[in-house]
Amino acid sequence: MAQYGFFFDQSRCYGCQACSVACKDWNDLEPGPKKWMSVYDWETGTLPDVRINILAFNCGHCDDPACAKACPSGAIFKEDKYGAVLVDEDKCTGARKCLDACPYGSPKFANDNPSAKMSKCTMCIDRLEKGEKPVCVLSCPMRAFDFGPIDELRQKYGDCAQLAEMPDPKLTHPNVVYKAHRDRQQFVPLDGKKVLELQKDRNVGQYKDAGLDPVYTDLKAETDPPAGEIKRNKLVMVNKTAEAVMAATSNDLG
Amino acid sequence: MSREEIVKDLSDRHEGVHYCYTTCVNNGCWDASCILKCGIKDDKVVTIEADDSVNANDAREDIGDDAIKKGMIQLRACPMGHAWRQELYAEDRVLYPMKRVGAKGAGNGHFERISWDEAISTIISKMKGIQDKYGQASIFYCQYGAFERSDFPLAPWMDTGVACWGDHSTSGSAPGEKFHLGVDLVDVMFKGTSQSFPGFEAPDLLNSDLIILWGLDMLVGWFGTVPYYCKLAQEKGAKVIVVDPRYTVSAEVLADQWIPIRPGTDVAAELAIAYVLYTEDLYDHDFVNTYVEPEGFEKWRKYVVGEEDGEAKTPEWAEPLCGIPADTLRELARLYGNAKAVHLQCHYSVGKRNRGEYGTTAAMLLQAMTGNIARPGGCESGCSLTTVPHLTTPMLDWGRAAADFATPVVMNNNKLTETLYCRQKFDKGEMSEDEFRHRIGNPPGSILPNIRMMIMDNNYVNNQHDVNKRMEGFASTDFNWGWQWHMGQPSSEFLDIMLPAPIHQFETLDTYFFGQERYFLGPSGMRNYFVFCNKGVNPPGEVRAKEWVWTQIAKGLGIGEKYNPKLIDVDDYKDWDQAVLDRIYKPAYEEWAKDSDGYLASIGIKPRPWDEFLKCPVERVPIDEPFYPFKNLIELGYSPFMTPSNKVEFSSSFLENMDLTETRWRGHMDSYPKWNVSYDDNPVYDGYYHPDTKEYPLSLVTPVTPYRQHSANDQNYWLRGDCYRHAVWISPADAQARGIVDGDQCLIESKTGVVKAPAYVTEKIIPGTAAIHHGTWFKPGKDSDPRDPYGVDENGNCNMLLDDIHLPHAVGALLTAGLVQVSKIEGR
Repeated sequence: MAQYGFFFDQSRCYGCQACSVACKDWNDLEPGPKKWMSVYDWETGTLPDVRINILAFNCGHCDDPACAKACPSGAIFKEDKYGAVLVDEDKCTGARKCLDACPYGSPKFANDNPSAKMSKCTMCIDRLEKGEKPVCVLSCPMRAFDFGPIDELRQKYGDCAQLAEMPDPKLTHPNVVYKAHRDRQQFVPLDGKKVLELQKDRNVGQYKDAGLDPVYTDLKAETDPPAGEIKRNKLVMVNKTAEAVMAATSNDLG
Repeated sequence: MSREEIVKDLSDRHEGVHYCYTTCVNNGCWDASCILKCGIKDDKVVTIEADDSVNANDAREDIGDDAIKKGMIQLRACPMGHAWRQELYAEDRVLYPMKRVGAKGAGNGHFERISWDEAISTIISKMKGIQDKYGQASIFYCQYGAFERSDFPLAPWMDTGVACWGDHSTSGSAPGEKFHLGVDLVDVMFKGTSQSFPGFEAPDLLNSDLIILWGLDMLVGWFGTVPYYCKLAQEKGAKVIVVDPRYTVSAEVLADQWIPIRPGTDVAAELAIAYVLYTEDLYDHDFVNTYVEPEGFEKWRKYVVGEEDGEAKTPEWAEPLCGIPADTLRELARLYGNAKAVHLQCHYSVGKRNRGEYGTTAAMLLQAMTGNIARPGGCESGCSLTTVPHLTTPMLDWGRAAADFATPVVMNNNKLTETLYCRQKFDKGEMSEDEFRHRIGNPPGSILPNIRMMIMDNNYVNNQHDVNKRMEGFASTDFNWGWQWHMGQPSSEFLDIMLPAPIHQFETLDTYFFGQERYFLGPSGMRNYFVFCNKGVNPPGEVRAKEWVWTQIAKGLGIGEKYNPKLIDVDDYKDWDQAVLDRIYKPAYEEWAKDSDGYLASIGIKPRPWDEFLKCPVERVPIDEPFYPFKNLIELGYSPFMTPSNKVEFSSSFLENMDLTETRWRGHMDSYPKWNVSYDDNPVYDGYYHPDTKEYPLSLVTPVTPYRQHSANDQNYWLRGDCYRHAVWISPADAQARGIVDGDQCLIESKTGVVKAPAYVTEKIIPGTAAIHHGTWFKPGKDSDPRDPYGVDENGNCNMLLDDIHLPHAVGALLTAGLVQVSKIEGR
């Protein structure tokens, strides 16, 4: 058996979700939480040292798939030819034990109805059988993905299987390879503290006597916002409700 | 199910498909003419895959430096490209002609289904009546009067139509280009009187060692090959810096450094950079000696160093205005002045605001000072369009008669709202003719517009500044008609007859926006390919090709033979598209394929027979040397700068010598970019320093998004909800001061309108600035407010919040910024 896997280059991804939409289109998935390819987008840091973190994740097609082990009806299995983890929807009873077990939140449900059956990324096995790569990897406008035998991907791109905030790959041994986004540089010096101070006042330069209101009064409000004021500031892959899936996998670029 | 059964289950819907290629470009995509591979079965689109016309099945497209430099890559679509089935098969598609019963405007009247015969005969009689009653400039076709044209298909033989100067897209940089560089897109693209192509090709970014994206979120605002090559350039070592009030996705992905700036202060930062270049002698003397007019260069120098007004525009001077530390500005100037080839790109968001033209002009002058305006790896930093194509495309011959009339240019194309408003005042005697002419940018000597009919095949009511005033204007006309895709599209409320619009990219052989034909060559970015966008499926319901409709109307007006002689006999709409293919597109291809001058052979194209071509209708040739701005003229030793001095004029002689208020610009501009202008003591009205910030303290920016082509796709549910939440961006400091946390429903108010949207609280925007993405549909709710006469918008349409004031500054820019207040709606 050959094991196939995915390479994802975080440094190229801007979270547009073309991969996710192309997946929905190819597999005819209705709008909503059946997002077999999920794109997570969260910020870290404070102005001006803020970062956008993005992860496009479908399924690890793991060597040790926790979902399959957890399924009470034996509906989830790993096929031999590509190592794809598949679900037999006839056997699925909607028990959601797979969702409890998978650290990556890959099992997806159309809604919160207890009878909803699990579905998930199929590795586009229907395409693979015709010699075509998965639709997500061919759709990325930034060419952030690659796909192939995992040994070859590791040879080409290294063996990083965990980006910041992701689960420990030792749990399930996913067949993924990652390239992390780049560190920031200062081509020119930028004093972050000064930037923040400069944002405060409007009565500056020729406007020093204009009597305008300050932009902000309390610097702490910017640098140390209270918990819950900013919501999309961590990676949350395991989401148990439709609403949580949508909140974790949509952005504010529209 | 066994493995095999699962595979079969997944494969079933793809069995027996055939493929059709198209591009889905709409106005709003800019230079991306992406190639879509549509799987079709039972006359329905079942899948839309990415381009496979080259490097098929290659995910990473790691095809080697040489092939990448030559542009031999796929044209992959953005998320919208894959989401079209939600539009094609939407439940609310308009399927039949409808007439409005009752008054125009949301909340007034309703639609009733009518026959095509009734629709077309009514339209013909209304067109005749309005032309007879109101004269030459009475019918406005909304797609679109720009670049001194009307684009109303029947205008050349009807002697009616409204041509406008200016355009929406490049309006913030066009004056700088024209006055200082002597470059005018009208001359280059439409009249063919100039060869000064200011564009660049994506692979030329590989020649840049420094790339500065100034107010440009290139991944979104210039989607396509350009940001992809920018990324490749960065990976190969180019330094990329973003200057923007927001930490954009381009700041994260394309750049390694972000420098935040207060909106509307760009020119101050640019003056500080110029100060360093002048005082530390960091400019390109060879280029300046050859291509820059020396007196103007010296005038701007005197202004910049403070010899003119006693105020040296030092980095320390700019620091508090822009919110950028002086050290940062000084070192940025040095990095810039010492770099070999700099792609500094600064135009749309900087230019399309009150007096924003000075910011874009200053960028052009900086690029000229450093020689980067016309060298490999450089950028013009104006419209930065267009380039010389690397191949020819088949040329259609419709056999149309020569024009009987030239449509007069009567207004600026961003002054439609104002024109409708002023005409009512003028007719009532409440406004003088002189004021009317000035407010709309009426060219001296031209007639006055008296628009009584709108023809809309887009969402024109919704998509520009001051929507409330615009809606009242659209409601004031005698009779409007047009095509719409969806029931409930805001513009539909202002139509008296609504025709069902084909989604032309897939369903007909109609032209695209701006009359572009279906042998599609991108306007810029990479002009080394074209795709023939074939019809894939028949449209649903009673949707018919638009060209068939135009032809029926032309016949009714007695000008059918002139308008469409080759198709005049095709009455049955069912035969239409096949006739267009057989009589127009196929002969054009076959003529092209003859290659009678051997040009195609010389560039390596061996034309295929028509039937073979249709299987994958894409031609692509390698780019030997990517186009950089003005490459064609510079390399021949000609100056591309067609100013009176034939050089870059840092102080425009046109502006020095003309009273601009008596030209079509109708307002003032100083002859070089300044922070304080000579004709207005007020700070810019959309910036941090205007007194209105007392009431509306947040400076609103309105960027474009990956999920709407202007407002197309706003209700596409593979995008809205699935990919994104439409929200108002607000900083933690501003949120806390207002008791707002992420997700709170908010009221966003300006002088011109009120809208609702949830808050997105993020560190990615500086305090004092708010952002709402452009293009959501106005959706009035139950709440009322005097500013929103049709009801308070529940869908966060940023254009409701933007004013449309130009004077005393020159008329012309499409304004995209304003001042707002944001407050939490309690109880939500």
